[in-house]
Amino acid sequence: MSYIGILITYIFIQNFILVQFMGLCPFIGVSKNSESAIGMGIAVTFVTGIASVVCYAVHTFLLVPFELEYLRTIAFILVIAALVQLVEMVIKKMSPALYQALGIYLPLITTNCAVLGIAIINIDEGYNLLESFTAGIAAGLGFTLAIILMSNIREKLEMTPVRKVFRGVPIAFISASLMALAFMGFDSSLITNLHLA
Amino acid sequence: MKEIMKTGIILFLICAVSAGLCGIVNSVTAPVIAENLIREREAALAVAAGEYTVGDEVAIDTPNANVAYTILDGDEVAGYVFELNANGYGGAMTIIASYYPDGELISAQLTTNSETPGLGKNAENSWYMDMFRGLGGENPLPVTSSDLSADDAAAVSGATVTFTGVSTALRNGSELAKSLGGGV
Amino acid sequence: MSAHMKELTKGLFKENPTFIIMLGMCPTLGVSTQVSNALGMGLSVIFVLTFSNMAISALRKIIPDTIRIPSYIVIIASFVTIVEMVLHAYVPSVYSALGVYLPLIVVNCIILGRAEAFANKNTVLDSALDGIGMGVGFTMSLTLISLIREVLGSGTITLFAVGGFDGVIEIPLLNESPIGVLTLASGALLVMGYLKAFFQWKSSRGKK
Repeated sequence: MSYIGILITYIFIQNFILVQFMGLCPFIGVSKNSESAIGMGIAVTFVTGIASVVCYAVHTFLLVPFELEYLRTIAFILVIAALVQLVEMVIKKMSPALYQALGIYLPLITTNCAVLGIAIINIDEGYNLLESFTAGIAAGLGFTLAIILMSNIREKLEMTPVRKVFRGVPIAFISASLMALAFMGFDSSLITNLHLA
Repeated sequence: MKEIMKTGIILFLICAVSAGLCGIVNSVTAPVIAENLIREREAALAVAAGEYTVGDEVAIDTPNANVAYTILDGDEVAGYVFELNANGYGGAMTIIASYYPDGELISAQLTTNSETPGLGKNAENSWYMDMFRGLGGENPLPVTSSDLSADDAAAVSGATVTFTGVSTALRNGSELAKSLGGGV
Repeated sequence: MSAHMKELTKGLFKENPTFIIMLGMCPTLGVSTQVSNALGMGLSVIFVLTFSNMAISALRKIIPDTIRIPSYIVIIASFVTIVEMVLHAYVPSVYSALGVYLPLIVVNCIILGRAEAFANKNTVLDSALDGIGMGVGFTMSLTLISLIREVLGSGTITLFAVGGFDGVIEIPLLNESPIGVLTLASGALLVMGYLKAFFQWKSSRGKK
């Protein structure tokens, strides 16, 4: 599949939140205002991009040569946890301003399914290094898109009279459901029809 | 420094024990998994071959199919069975299908897929593949759902992408069988 | 004994991980298209949760505070890997139906959450009971969601094939004209939203 095809696939067709439900906890938890949604989105995109590359490298150069593929889950989650720590430390040193903005979201990302999810999907789909990186960035962008849309909807919902039992999380889920319905308009025939396969 | 050494050693020990445990379980399960895979493929091929027996593997060079075997009526080559690649609504699918050498479909079964239950997943049922059975030789295989009878078209409506994926793959298989030819 | 029983039952309703604490929702929605998948996922989570809780509780005095999160993750990941391999070998149909959501149990917030909130402070027995209770609570919610989605969405209930029974119960009227959208991603979020609203309604009534 071409790189544009991969981008479209993971941003729209296989949108991590609205189609695959990966990263749903922060999606509901951090989407109350658009500022924190953007921060979370950028932080996730950053980590999915790097984690895709590093996990690909670990799988190809460490696990496969030693026939230890069955340790994939353990190796990936350790790499991701270490990576998130590292990114946090580097950002803290390099750019305190950026750390102020992203800092509080970074520790949450280790347990965001989206990161481990894309690392495993990359291997299952047999992507090469650059394709993995593209898929990682695309998955992060898809997450960002969904969480920003969601936060704008929720800001509007604050001003709207909603029945008491639906206020908060339930109405957020129902809004997400309607968004998912809209995202069904993107299906894999799009890739075929645009000749991106 | 001593503190770092100590925590490092503890973490290392935990990792080592975990990896060791996984290794032990793996050594038990790996052969079972490999055996399952072979048995599944053999069973699927045997079902597709129906009254015939599965013969030798045939070398093919096409992205449309993964493997090809001859099917035998006694010692004669009666046709071919292929594992075909298809694109469905939920991504890649595989279909095991058998053909006579003139391209006529003997039987087909959708195996791996991630289609939607109730819609595209209907293609796993035998009635779905009955729409294609016996076609591909003298009578062509359907290209779109408008080539089907009204009843059949209604049955596949709502899952057009799956239908197009299945019919495209089956037509590719039919062409492949014709190109291999021989037998009969 | 009654104190132990409390650890076991709190996960079922009062602190139900899915509907009250809202943890571990990715697999909840991802695999709830069929009842059999929900049960497979639920049993896997019960296994991982119970054993990782026990292991973490047993090691709670040995693991230094600074490396506790990585240690927990490694312990959880190894139990997940064991479940993955065992399912792949002996129940391949469930393994392929759960797909990527199976390794994702590692990052299921319920498990790390219980390790952090409960297992590293309590005895092995209490931790095991907590794990079983929370796991069963998770399985019940998951099964509830999948029942709603499968019955209304495809008009069937898929269980496991035993003997002559192929494992699929067809529901007469719904089977012919199911509400297909419920089996899709959108339907999962919709069902979750309504169930959460129901639980909010119930707890607000309970307070009065």
